[in-house]
Amino acid sequence: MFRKLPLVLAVVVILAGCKKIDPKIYSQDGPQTDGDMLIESTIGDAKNMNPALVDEVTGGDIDDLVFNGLARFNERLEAAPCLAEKWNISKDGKIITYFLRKGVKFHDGVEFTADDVLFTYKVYTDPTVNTPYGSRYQDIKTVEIMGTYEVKVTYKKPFASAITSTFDYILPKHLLEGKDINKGDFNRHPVGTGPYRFVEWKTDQKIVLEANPDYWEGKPRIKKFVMRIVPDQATEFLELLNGGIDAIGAWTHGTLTPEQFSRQLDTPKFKDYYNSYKTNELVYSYIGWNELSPLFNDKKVRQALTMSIDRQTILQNVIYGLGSICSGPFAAHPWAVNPKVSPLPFDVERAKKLFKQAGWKPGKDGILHKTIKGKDAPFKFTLMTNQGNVPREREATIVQQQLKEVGIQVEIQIVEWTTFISQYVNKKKFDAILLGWSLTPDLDADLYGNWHSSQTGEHQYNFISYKNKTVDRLLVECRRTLDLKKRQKMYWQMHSILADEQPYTFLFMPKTLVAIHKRFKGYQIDEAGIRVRPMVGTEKWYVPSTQQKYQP
Amino acid sequence: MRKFLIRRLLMMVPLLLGISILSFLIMHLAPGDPATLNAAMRSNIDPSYIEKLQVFYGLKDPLYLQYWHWLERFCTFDFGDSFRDSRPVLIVIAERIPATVYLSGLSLILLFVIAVPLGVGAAYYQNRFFDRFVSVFTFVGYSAPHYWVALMLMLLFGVNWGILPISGMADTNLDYLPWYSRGGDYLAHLILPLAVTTYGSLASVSRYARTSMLEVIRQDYIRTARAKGLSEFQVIFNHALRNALIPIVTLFGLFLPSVLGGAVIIETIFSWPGMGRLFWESIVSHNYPVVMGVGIILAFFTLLGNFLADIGYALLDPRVRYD
Amino acid sequence: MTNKPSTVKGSRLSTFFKRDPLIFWGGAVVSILVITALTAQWIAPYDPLLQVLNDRLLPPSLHHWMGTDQFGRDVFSRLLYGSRISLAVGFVAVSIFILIGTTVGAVAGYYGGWVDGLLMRLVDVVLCIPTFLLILMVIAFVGPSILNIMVVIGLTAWTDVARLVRGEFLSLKEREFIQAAKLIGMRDSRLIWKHMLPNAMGPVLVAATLGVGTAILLESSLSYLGLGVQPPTASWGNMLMEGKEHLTDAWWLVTFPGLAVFFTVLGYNLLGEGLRDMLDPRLKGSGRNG
Repeated sequence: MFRKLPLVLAVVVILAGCKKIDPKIYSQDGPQTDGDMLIESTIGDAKNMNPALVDEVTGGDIDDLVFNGLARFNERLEAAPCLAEKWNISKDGKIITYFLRKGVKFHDGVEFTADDVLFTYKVYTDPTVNTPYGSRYQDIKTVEIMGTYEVKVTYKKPFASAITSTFDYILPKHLLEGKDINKGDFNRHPVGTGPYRFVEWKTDQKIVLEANPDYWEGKPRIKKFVMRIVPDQATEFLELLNGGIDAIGAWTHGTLTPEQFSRQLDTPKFKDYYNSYKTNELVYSYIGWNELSPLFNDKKVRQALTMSIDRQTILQNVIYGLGSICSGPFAAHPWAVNPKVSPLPFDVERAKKLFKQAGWKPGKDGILHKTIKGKDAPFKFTLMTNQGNVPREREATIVQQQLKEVGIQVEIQIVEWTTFISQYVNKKKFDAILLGWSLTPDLDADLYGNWHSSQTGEHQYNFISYKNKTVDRLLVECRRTLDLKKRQKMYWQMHSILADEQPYTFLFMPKTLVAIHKRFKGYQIDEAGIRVRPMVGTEKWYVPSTQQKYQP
Repeated sequence: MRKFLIRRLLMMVPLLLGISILSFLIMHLAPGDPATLNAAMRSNIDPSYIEKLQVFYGLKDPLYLQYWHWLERFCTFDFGDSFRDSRPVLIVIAERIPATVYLSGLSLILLFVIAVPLGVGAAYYQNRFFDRFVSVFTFVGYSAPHYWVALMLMLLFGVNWGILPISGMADTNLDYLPWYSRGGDYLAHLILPLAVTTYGSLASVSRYARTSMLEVIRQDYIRTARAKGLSEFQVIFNHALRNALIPIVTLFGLFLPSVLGGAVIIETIFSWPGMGRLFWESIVSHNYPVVMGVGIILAFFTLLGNFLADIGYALLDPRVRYD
Repeated sequence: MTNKPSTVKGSRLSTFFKRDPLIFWGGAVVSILVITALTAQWIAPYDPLLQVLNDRLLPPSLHHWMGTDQFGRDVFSRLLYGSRISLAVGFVAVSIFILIGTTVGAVAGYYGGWVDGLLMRLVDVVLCIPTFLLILMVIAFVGPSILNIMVVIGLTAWTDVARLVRGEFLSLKEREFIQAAKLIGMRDSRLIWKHMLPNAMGPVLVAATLGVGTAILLESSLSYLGLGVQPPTASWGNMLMEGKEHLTDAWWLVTFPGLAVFFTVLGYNLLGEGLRDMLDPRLKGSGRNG
């Protein structure tokens, strides 16, 4: 051990040489100069940085900083201009003409034009390209270049989320034309028009971006962005405490765990250096009742099940109350949530009455019984969830206990993810499953996929086989309506139908828990609103010159 | 001798083949496939994407055909492309070698430098205080779960005392540090993972060295040497130690492949971009080509290590004869 | 502490322990452990699975000697019940690998020739991938369950024992009493079972003792990667794993299971080393003081 002593001492000296800043200074502002670096971390490395191919979070987070789309979301989750200054939509909704921003340059200095838009369309619709997003472009008939800065997109039929779900990342034609998109160099050296440009990627170590001085919204103040890959969550938190990373969930999808947020932030070490926020993301968890099962094909039974489950207790116990109960598949979408619908109450008495009305009577064994097809059947079922997700396993245990109170015997089965999907979900061989959805801001694809009666095939998302004619009609109609006001009315109607029919028991929407070093200024996080992805305004973040930590 | 060596070398071919079939079967017969793992249940992803990936990865072919394709390419030293990022497996693996060898290699050297003297000393002072001390000292290192020790050290040295960095190979800001503190920065990042890996393995090597030394010390020629009136120093260093080291050298050869295999847990906990982590993450994500690649390469080096150990043994110990 | 013949008069056992503190301390730890594991249901103050949500993460106190975990379960009770799982993993895995290793080693050593060649190549195959990586690979694909973990550790760790037993058999084969037995036409099986195996059991016993410790360590390492015994069943490994999320705010969650693993493995190793020294005649009466 002694042989290492001099080394340790040397390190101490080196580290002592760094200037220590009194944390009090962070509560003040200062001159807004360029510089410093923001370090975040992720558990898993990116696979690929080509936005047409990315199918995981880390690559997507990087793409959000490196690329721009023609449009993006504002904080109300409506379409706002980005690389397109504006667009015209024809009366019948079939023709969209984009007018592109002039003078925008890719990171290699080449100007962005209508050619790139057409090229992007070609990549996404090329059957040899392994893109997960091709279906978004399937209704497009033609994409025509009307001038250097004007593109006309003609649809076979109107497509509600045309503006926001297509052309969300523009690829540079001059770098990719004629290349193998699936394997090219570009996938590890992305070039876009976004606020940050790619510098280096050391696999499983870090991804480094730097400010794009020519960014069309203005040169970003923070000089560099680094995504470190830290595969262990405990290590990640220690790194945060130690200053090895500056933020969790600032520009990326990272989040603290509810345990960390509610118990481990209350130390001077943390409070002096970090601000923490609870923000809303578009996610919710639910129990899906298989409608093909004779147990769950009755609406009253599903309502009663929901009313027997005390979601508030689950929320408190599983994620320390860091979330809110939801009433439908709309998470926190500001315009889609019907303000008149509220979650079914936790009411065991009412639940028991409903069970009785549906023919379920308590037997001698304390379990509900009903005669189905001439046979006496006890109310017994298996609740499944995937392995490796501790909160879900806990939710399942609490649900099990609570349903026991009303006379339902629940068995919990926890299955490895791919087996869960291929053996049970795809084959619809389950009674009830406990899972979560992560939604897109636009909603159309999510809702259509989850609730339309045609979407029950293998790997499709209406695996509970939900069927409702009105919902089907509304979904199709929504899909063809570009006017958000009209869509809103239909979503409200859908919301009340789903809340009434309870095909899922909607549990809750967990918060995303963010920590950001106090030296960073120039941003606002609206805890009541929604985190918009891609992040808007990263170029406005800064660190006052007196508080800067790194000199990159 | 030559005949024996050639036979051993030729023997490697069916062994490697067997291992490749075995690992191929384990992976493919297990439930789940990489495409489902990546893309199932993600509402922003086309459900048809899963099938697209399965075709792209070649998972739709019958198993024997998949293996045959793999073998065909393998014969031209093409390990295929990683499912993760479509890069050639060989490049993906080569990328990991520096970090792995840097940590595991240094650890191996340090391990022998510390453990062999400890073991030899323990044998010399058999059943006396030093022997007991070495036993307890080395077993303490072996008995504590690595990641538990690692976390405790990170908490102490990193968070509480703030004298050592917690994870990674170097500071994120390394390129902007003055040249003279870069070396120190690398060293500072190395200390904790190196200490944990090395300390944990001291027990086996020092025990081995002790046994080997004990066997030598009771040999007749040592008694003869003593009887001749040679100084204790000469007896131990010139006669005993030299012979005791022979099996230890072999042990070193046998340990070499584990250097390449890296250390899964230590690499994960210290965010070290090594081979163990690559292997582990590939297993978890069902990245078959990489798992096969790492497996075959490790197997090859293990066989080679055994082979070299045999040769070393033969060269160092004239009594050994192979025929 | 010398190995001069003891002058202490008294029971043989006490002399034995005085002479070998490794065996004494190792044996003490191991016996305490086995006893607590067997009597867990009487000692444990609480149900190890009982979640009391109002009592989450309480620090150690008179009511909860080792505090409570994130689900309000009593850590001390879980530790006691966990010792059963950890020991069971150790014992079963070791039994499996001793069984396989001894059989393979005995057959290879006794028959020699092509049987020996074939079996030793099998050993080579298993040894080709570092044991831990091999275990990872197999468990990741067959899925983690207590049984799988025991079996996989058992199936991958037998090679050392096989080599040991083979070595013993090779040298035993040359001994006169075995030669003699062969000459009078004793059956192979009888020869192996009655005469050779008992003589080769010493090193196997040592390997078994050390193996229990190693298996317990392996289970905790597997838990770190999520491949250990699955919750809610308590094992020391998964307790450590769950506790690591609370490193900075609930020290007791990682400290007690960590210490439990540490002392247990240490106990088994010291015992094993002590036995080795005692059983191996080559290591006795040598050295400076011999």
